[in-house]
Amino acid sequence: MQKPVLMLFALTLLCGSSAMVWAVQDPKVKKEIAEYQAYFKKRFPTVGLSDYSDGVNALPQYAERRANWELLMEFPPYEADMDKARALWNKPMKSGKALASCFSRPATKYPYYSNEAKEIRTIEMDLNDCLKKNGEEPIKNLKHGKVALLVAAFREQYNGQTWNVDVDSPGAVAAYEAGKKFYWTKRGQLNFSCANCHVHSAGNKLRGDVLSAGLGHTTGFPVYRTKWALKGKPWGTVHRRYGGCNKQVRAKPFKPQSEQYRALEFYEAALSTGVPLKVPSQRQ
Amino acid sequence: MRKKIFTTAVVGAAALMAGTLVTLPTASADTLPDEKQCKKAAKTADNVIKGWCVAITRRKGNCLACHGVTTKARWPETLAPGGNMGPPLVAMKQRFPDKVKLRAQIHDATVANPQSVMPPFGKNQLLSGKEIDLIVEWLQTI
Repeated sequence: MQKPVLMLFALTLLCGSSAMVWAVQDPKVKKEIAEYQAYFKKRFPTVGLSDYSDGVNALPQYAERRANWELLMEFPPYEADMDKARALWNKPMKSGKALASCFSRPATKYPYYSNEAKEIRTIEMDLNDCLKKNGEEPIKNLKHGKVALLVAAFREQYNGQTWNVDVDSPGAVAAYEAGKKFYWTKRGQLNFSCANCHVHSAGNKLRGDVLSAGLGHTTGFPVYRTKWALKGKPWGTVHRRYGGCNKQVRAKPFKPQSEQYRALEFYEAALSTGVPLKVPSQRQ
Repeated sequence: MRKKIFTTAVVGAAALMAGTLVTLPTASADTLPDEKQCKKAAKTADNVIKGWCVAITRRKGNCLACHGVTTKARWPETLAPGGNMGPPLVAMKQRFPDKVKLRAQIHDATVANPQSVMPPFGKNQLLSGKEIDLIVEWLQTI
């Protein structure tokens, strides 16, 4: 009796999610994303797609440390800063307009390929354009501080909604392909690709640290990171993290908002189609 | 008489303490040096310990980042155990009876296995040829 009901429920969920989730139109891209997600389903059978919002904390290999993280989340260290971030976001610009007036696209559909600009556009880019248009100075530092707070204030409004970037035009597919190439290419003196650690070795230990799964990457960004807090700059954008990763494999990092990192961000977002946003996040 | 017993006791206690003091360095000699101790030990130690030091030092081999290791000598308390991104380093002499093959593996593991994610320590000049030789010497003992 219970089984058919459950199956019907599962079927509804499946249909619901496929109708809602797939803004990805390109059949080849769609297939690749499904394969990528199936790999993680097989590698971590107990971890559901939405669990990947929690980053490394979601992995069973991290279980013994999860309690600490949950304790920390009772009084998240980012809360005071988030009050500041929301105030910054709502503060009228010199033109009298609010930042929100520039954003018609939901955070779940960033980054996106702009047919007019013929490039991948990120929240950070639209944010700076908005500031300029409204008589404000654009933000120079695109790694930490104010930019991270504003992006967090925008993205948190879409918490719980699922990633849903559009890969539906030749330009978008080309950017996706560029990001894919970056992701799977070995680089640096240590000769690691992103995938070497975050796909092939996800959940394995690097000394005491557990390698996060690529699935869900960037979902919780901007993040408040303990490691960065120790240096006095706890907030970071995705591109700050990318730069750190590149340095760790002893490769020269690219500039934040460079074409390379934007393509990578777009690719990672596409791979995480269906994972709900959870912003900001605390990471170690 | 009483005094004699007291003296003996004092002497005995002193001897015991001295004994403890004497045995301490012996005990630490059985324990492998940690990364900090390696800075000194690497100069005077034999090639096996020198190899161990190259292997565990983060700016050198940093082998423990990815490999778990079981050593016969005592593991230093201050050294965290290795990771598991790579296979554990056990029975290396049996697995690599040929030193040349082991050396080649550290130089560039992708030659024997293109799927390997191990950094090519020789090819990318992460380690010198001499340093790789020292690691091989140490690996032959575990």
